[in-house]
Amino acid sequence: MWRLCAIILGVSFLVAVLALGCQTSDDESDLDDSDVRPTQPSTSTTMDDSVPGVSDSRVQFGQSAALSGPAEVLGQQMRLGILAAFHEQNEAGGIHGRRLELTTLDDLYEPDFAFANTRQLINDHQVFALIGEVGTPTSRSAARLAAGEDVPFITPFTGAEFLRGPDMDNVVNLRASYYQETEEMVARLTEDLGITRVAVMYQNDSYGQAGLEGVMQALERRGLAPTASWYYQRNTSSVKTAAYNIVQGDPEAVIMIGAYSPVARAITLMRQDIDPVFMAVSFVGSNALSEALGPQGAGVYVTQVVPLPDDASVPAVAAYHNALNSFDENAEPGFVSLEGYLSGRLAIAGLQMCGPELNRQCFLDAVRDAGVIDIDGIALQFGPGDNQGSDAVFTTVIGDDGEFHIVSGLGGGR
Amino acid sequence: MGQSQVSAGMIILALVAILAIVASTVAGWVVIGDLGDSGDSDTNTEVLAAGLAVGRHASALDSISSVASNFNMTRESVLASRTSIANHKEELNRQLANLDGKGYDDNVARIRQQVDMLTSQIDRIEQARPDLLRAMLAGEQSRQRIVQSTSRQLIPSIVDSLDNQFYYMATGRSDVRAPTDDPTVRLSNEEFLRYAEISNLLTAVGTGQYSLLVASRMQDPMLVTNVEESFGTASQRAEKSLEVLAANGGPELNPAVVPLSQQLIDAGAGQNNFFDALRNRLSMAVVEQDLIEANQQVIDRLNSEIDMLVAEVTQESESSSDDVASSASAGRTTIIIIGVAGLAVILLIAGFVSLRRRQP
Repeated sequence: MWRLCAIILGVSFLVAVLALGCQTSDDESDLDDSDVRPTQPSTSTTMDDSVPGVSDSRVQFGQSAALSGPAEVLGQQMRLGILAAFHEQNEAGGIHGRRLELTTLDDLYEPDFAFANTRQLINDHQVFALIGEVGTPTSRSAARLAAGEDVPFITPFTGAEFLRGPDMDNVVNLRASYYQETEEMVARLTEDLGITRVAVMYQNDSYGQAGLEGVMQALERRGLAPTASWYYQRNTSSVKTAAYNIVQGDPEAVIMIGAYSPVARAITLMRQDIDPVFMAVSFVGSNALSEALGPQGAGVYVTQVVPLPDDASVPAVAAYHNALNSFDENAEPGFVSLEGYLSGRLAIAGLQMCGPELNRQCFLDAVRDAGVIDIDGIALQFGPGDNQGSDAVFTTVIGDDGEFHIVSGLGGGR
Repeated sequence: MGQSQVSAGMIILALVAILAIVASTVAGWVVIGDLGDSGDSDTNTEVLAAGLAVGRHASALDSISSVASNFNMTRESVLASRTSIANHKEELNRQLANLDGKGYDDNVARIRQQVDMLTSQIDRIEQARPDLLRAMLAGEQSRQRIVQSTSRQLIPSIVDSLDNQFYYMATGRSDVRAPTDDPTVRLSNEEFLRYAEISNLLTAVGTGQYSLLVASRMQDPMLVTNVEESFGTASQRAEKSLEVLAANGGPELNPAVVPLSQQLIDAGAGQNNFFDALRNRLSMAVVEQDLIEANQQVIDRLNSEIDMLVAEVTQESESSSDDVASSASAGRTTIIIIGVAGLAVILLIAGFVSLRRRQP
């Protein structure tokens, strides 16, 4: 019986001990609960890692260019070339399954509209990159805006120096600069023809200033200075005052930093009084200039930054012909649309190098780090501090047939 | 046999009594534990959750509405914002209702006051936004019209006129009249006056256009008058030149110059002119900006009130929790002592009865 009592007491003791033990454990739980403090409302948002202008099925590019007004041919042709390159690639299945698309807005070759268009392309159209902006004052407006938004600004149709600065990380240039073009002009004039009396007619904006500065530096290196220089208002053909003042300087050569329409008119006016060597930079719009001058165009020199658009012996030009014909069988080859085509091809090369995981920085890095990018025989070289792919400058002359011919020296062209 | 029967019955009875005591002890234990875990703590948790939800929805409301009207806003985005605002307001009301009657009436009243102020200001912003956006759009369209007509048509036509006039005077050549080598004809006073007035008009139009463009980018309505003065001065100069040129502009004057110049002057004068519209738009923008800044202050005050509520609830919870835990602990100890004592008593009784049974 006492054994039974002892068992019962033992069990009771164990129950009591266990109960006390459980009480201790519950106290710890209470402490844990009281440790939970209210937190501030969360402000974190879901990270959106999508890249503007890029989806599984497409890559969207944007372009602001003159599609109307006195410089409209430049914008239209640049667009044509880019579209031909994109069409060619899309026909081949796109890039990593993505089609390339281009939205172009007309900026009338006015900086104010270029700025508004660029803002619209970045904010509303959500483009991946801007391509083929036409003109220096317009690019000046757009490039800074693009830089502020980290949007690649590729292959602008201008040789302005400011786009080649070390701080323009988002810019990829295809062509040689105006300084290189004007250096080539002055070299040819002074070395081939022994000319010392050089005048400059320039557009009254950053494009004209860039060209004027290039000519002045090139002349200064040779101990020379312009015999006359005068400007005309952008987007006008009001060049009589400029023509008159340049004629007064009696130059042996006149370098024209302008667009095809006013340049053609100025050449016509000046030839009433003098017969100098006329030279224009590539931005002039060579084919449109030749057309505007007609028979009077013979002997006018134009520096080019791309090969002759009719020279199918150059593989890149042959590819351009095929792409252009496939895109629009009525389109005629030209310098500007060839530059547009090469711009499109450079963009395509960058996209391909970047791979399927496309983003803007990857694209820019791919182009910069590629070393040499070969576009069917045309080598574009980029590198640290060098955002300009080509240094090539070709001197061409308008022949009696109205066609352009590459010349190695100026003597035979006149 | 008789003794063993009694003894077995006693044992069973004792075991039943012991089990009853143990079961009662455990039941009492559990009940005390449950009492400690429920009650006030549930209410405080609800208050905390509702208070934080109020803060969260108020901040969301503020972030949606406290955005200055801009050109990226579309009709669709404004409607989407309104829907979102309505949802947050509904949720705010629901959470405020959850706070009612929970014993924190003073805090809740102050929170409700800030929420009412916030929603009232947001209503004012959203009600005024469509008008402001329309005014901004009209202002931008007006600016673009001025740029378009002035940069693309008026200035080129004046430049062209000036260029032609200069060339005629310098060379005697013209696209629209017979050439002359006679200096008394091409350099007459009349030709000089024309040249001077076209040149003067170009300067005045350039200044006028620049004034309008500067004005269109302005943010401060107080500065509009200064630019209006500049535009007025340029307009007066342009009008004088137009008087001369309208009477005797000569063949080199582009026919578009006079009507386009008058159009530019009219843009800055008369009823509903560019500057009146600008002042109106900037005033609306200033009101909006003031409300946005006021919203931020309200949000700060609201967050402060919510912090105070949270602190009070937390303090209350900790105090209540300590009391309950202490009581529960005492209760459990008491129950265990009673249980053990009960068991001891039963054992003593069982022992006593057993001894008495054994005695002859």
